[in-house]
Amino acid sequence: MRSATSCFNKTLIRTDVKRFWPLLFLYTAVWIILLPVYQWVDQGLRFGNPGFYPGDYLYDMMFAGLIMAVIFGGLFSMAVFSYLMNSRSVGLMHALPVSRGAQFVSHVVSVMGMLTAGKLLVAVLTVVEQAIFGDVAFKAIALWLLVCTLQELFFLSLGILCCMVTGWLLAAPVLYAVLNSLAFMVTQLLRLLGQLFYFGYANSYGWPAVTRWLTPVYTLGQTLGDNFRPVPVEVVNDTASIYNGSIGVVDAVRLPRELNPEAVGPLAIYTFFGLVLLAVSYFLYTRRASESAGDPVAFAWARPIFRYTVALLGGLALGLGLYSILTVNSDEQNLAVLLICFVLMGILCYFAVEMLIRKSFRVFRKGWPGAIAVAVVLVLVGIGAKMDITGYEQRLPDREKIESVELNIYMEDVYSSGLSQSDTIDAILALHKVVAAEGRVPVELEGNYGINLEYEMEDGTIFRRRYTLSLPAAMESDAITQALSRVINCEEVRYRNTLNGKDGLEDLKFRGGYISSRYADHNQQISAEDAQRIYDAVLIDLANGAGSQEPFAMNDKETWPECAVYIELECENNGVWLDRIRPDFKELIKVLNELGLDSATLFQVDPAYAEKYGW
Amino acid sequence: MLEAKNIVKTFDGFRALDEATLTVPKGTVYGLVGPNGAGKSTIIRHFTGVYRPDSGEILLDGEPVYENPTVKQRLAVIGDDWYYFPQASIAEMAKLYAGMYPAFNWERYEKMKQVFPLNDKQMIRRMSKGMQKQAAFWLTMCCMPEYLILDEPVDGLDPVMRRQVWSLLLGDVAERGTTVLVSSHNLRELEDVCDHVGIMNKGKVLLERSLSDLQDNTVKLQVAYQSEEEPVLPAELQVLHRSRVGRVYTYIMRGNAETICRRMQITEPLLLEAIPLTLEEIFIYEMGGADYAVRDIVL
Repeated sequence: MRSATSCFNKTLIRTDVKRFWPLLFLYTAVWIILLPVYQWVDQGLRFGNPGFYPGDYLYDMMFAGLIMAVIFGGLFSMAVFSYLMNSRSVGLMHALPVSRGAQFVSHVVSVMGMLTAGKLLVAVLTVVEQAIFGDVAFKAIALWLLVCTLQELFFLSLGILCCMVTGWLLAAPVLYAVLNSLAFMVTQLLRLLGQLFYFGYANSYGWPAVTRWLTPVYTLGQTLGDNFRPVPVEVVNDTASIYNGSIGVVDAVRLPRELNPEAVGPLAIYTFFGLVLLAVSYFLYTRRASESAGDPVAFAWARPIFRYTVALLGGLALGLGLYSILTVNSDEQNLAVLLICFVLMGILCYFAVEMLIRKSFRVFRKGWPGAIAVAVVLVLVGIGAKMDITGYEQRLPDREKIESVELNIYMEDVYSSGLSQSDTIDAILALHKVVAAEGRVPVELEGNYGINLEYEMEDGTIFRRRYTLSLPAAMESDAITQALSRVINCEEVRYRNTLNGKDGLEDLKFRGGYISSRYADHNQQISAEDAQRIYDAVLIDLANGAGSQEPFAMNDKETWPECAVYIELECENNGVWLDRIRPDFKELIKVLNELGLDSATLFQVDPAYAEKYGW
Repeated sequence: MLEAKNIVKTFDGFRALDEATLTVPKGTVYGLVGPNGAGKSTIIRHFTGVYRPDSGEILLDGEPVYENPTVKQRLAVIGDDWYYFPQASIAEMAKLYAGMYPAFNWERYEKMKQVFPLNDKQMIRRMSKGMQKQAAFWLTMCCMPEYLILDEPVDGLDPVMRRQVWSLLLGDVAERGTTVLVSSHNLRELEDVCDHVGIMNKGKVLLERSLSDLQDNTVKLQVAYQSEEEPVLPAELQVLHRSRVGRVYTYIMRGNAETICRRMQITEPLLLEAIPLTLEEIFIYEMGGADYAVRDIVL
């Protein structure tokens, strides 16, 4: 006799396969086109060529596996659990003598079984095909199977979770898409709000780690999409370079592709969380009320979360959008208008969600207390941010924990990274403080002045600020002018700014170099000896104080000629690029003159300036 | 025995079942009646394990039904909105049922091809509503359930097929001792097949009794008096309803017909006749007692 208490039900699995075989057919057909068919067409041309490895196809397809997992994980989960969205079908399924837990496990097993069966067929075809060509990449095929299966497990679990929390079939794919991109959307929203409210707010480059980890498509795509190969070890002829698309430049043999080691961590973590999501979904399924079929949110406890999350995030995002439309021609921030936009959009979102949840347009009478709560919270958020209750604007990094600073002052042509000397850091902190205190003046049409500061802290974190000052206001401020002057004339800043990040203490062995002009038709190769002469001359100039400047002088083209040449001094480890030469680099100019470059070639000179200096 | 004990079920604040208590004795055909929205379908979904009660318990022979596959193998249901997979035929649905119910009888399945004039290879969704109902009966009865729960079972069936279906059901009751719980608005039909009746209203079970007890306990009297004026009736008689046409009075009274007739002799009637009440009349008068506003309209 069949067990009624088994953890899964064979009949349900069989039924799933019978019902959803078209989906399995589509999934398998796409994989067959992506792997065996593509391989057949391509391998015939490439097989036997040096640097060609059949396993490379499989590694290429791991990224495709991610896309397939996202699409088919979502489709399969919604297909097998679609009965939860309809009161008739849920009535049939839950009246059957199978426990809810066993039903859940049966559906998961059936989907994973179908996906695995499809991939196994593709794998067998791939093996047969590679065997025909004479070289079977078993390891790559096994890894492809494993990686695709793990990704599918995660996205299937995510899709199932979406189906568990909603009773409305249309909501499931929307929720699935939103969950896959929510972290990006929220991060972007917070960044926009930060830019709006906080003077000096600076994004991190790229996306914060938490955002990346909460967006598995991005994280897995970054690592699995990487065309990873071990470092080449053997120098060979150039025929191998055909496969790099750059004939004649490759000087090492192509090694077979491998799974990017950086993908292993994310794969393991997402697999673990896939299992966690499955466990959560199982728990929710066993507690889900059958009568929730047709409800946008299946659990009563989740409704306030859904209602207020959408209302608050929607209020902020749409409010920001409305505000930007209403103030498109205004430079000044208008807090009252902004708050009205937040409140309007928040209430709009609140009632829209309320209508969805209650499945009725008659929500205004019962819903107004919630709408008022949303409005109050949005106003408090707006006012709180405006008042900077977190102290973001005035916050300075802990002096004792600063490792180094990257400084970028666009209009002074100052860009220096790795600044770590005590005097420099003190000067930068002083500038930071005075700018934070005095710099918040509306930027007008006359111009702006950008200062970027990035402090690398002992614990590896980055403390960033990005200031856009009003140029006229900054020029009028003695405190800002003095602090700027101190920073840009620091010895370390001058050295690193001139030598492209080098501090002049390195022992460099030059191999040669070249000089090219931005405007004149002048390109000149230089010897190792000349490269050394140029470098030595620069060091002498820097030691004599060259590279010093007054703040805001770059704004005046009449007195500040633009460097018109680009000099690269090649050495074994990296090189030195000189493109910020100024008239006070006298030793350097002398050497360059000896090498045939006159001052008119070196600088984009204003006629009045040339006359003044006798050029 | 199938029991619902103090079942409470609330949907978004609406109390659909309000401490409903109901007992279906083994081997009986139990008719569940009540006005629209009384909670009949809701309690049936509890009996089939689809809904979980907020409080109270549903028991089959003392075992809870909810999330109990062993118990659920013994009962089968035909809901008012029977569901089938959109692409499925009767034969394919039969495989599902056969996989779920250990007692599924393929021999009976083949025999029933004679009863139901349906093509079991045809997709069910291509069939008419009545044919789909036949398919539901075909499949459910092949599960050989000990307990059969039916919600508006013969809705959509033609009169011949209704008779056929009832005949099959009663045959199972007689031969296999199947217990049937049936909810319907067709009281005349229930009267012919049920031996027990439960009446629900506003989420409560107002009364449940065997049909004979029920009919014994309420009586309809037609009385004509000598005088024009109606005499004073004995105070101990509980009159549920009274009406008059000419000199003939009609009373609906609670109690045994024989006792009531004996007591009514004190009014010296010219004519006194006790007529048994139909289930429909019992339903209407009981509902009238529960503030159900149809009594006067009907009478």
